[in-house]
Amino acid sequence: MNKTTAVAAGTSNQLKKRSQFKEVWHRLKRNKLAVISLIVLGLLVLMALFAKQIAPYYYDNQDISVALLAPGENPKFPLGTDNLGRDILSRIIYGAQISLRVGLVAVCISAGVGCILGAIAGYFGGVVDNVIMRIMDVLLAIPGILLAIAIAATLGPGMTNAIISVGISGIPAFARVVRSSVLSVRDMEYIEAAKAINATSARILLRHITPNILAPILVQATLGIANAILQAASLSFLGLGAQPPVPEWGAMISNGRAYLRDYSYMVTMPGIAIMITVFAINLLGDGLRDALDPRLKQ
Amino acid sequence: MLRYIGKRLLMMIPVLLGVMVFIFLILHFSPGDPARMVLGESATQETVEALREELGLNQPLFIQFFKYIGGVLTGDFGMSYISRAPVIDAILTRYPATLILAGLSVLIMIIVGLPIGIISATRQYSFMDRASTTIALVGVSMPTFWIGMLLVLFFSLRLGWLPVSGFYGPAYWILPAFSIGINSAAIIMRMTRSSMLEVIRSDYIRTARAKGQSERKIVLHHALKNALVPIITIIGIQLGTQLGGAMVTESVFSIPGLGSYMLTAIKSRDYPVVQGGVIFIAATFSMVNLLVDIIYAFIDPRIKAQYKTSRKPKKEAVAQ
Repeated sequence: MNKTTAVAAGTSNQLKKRSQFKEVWHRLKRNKLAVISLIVLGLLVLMALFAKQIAPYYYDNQDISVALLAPGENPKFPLGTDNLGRDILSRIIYGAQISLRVGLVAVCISAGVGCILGAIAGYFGGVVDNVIMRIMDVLLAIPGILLAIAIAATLGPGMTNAIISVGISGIPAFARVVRSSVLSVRDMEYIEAAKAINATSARILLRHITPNILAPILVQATLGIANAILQAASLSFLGLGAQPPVPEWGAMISNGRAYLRDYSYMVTMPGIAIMITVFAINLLGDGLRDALDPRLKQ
Repeated sequence: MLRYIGKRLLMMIPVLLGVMVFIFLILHFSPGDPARMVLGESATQETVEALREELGLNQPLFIQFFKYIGGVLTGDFGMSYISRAPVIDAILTRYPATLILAGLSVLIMIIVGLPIGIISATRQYSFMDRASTTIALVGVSMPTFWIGMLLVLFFSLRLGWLPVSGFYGPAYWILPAFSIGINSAAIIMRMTRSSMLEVIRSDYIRTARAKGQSERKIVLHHALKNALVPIITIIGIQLGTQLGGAMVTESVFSIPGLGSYMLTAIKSRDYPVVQGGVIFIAATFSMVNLLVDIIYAFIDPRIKAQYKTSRKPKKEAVAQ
């Protein structure tokens, strides 16, 4: 009898120990591509954090005597130099700070506002839901990049304004995802139980609903970061985002446009940096989606 | 079905009205005086004030708004602050280029994305599947303007096969359409693959195989037809995205379309042009979404049946 109880206790402990997070992490680890993307992203984050120490030069160091050197032409400038003699590698390293910040902050804005609006719409329903979702419909009727361009033009050129515009244009997508997720758990028994013990709406939303709808939010956020980086690059390319001499990758491509015929590396190098970053984030997003999908548990 | 289309068309009115309010407000609250932008920094305050009066910018905001709405309802989108020509004429001249670009890229997206997605799903985990999914993910990860520039570099500057910029004929359409199409094809490919994978394991596919049906017929007639709904949704969304993204692509290829016109207008605070352009794009996007919903009914009899059954109870109720 005692043995049975001990075995049962052991099993329950084991079950307890294996939290949802651990289980997801375990499944994510089995996906080789997701692990590679995590390593790449880790390296990118380190590159951004220690840009000052890693970069051979400061991003705005100009030396006209070495302008327009092709990659490999001078070992001091492995990825070449631009029209002002600035080291492209150093600018790409510093650019990682900007692109990652754009992605994270813009998604924080989209997710913060979108989740609150979506949760309120889904939980309270009725008129509140109708009003919020019709406003979201209006925003969704304008293509994302056009919305971002219009807001960026209103706020004026600059990186902070570009981040805000990209963040605002991402709100409707989050609101929709969160609303539908809240609707799927709103009538569950544990929510009714929480209501029965007189828990406030805020407490139910924060303590009971949020943990159960985190999976789709996490996937949306990961893919949102990739999208935000691409949108911000487009804004900078159009002259509505980062302003010279800020080494944002989209702005670097825009700067190299006039030299495309003879010095194409000024365009290809920052483009490759964008591609690798967004590719790694998309791979992680796909991996997370698979790891969080209960149908793929086995 | 007709009643549904009518209802959806009516529902577009508040959405478009909302778009008008939104774009009107954000433009009018933006810093910078359009009159000053038109006349330049050297203009005297009196001249600027006179132009503000002429453009109606001195009137209260809500009067400006209602005048604008009244104009739009009668087909008058106002006059451009810069060219002083009717906005509607300029939009109608430039919109075909944007539509050709968006339409061609949708064609490329379907021709490239759909077959690869199908092959990838039918040969899951094969080399072909892994290669195409990886390439698709790379395609999604590249900015469209960068793809455009790479295409120009290889096909125009290096090989000299196609023109670098402009929009004077089919040869000029290829590179811009591909630069948007490649990116969207990757999205369609991913959606086709996942949608086909969900369908391909269904019982009716097993039954079709057991009957001895050819694999080609199983894939194209049984599986694809049932997997089409989410794919068509994404195609509709992509068309909308491409209308918006045309601003960037048109800027790369110097195409005289609506996107590049709006971009210039945004930078010079030419409010009527921006408002008109956004309303046109939003209306097209909404119409595409409606078209997508109608296409659902043609490819999925279950959806068609829903339209019919939603009418029946009302008729019965009236009869009772």
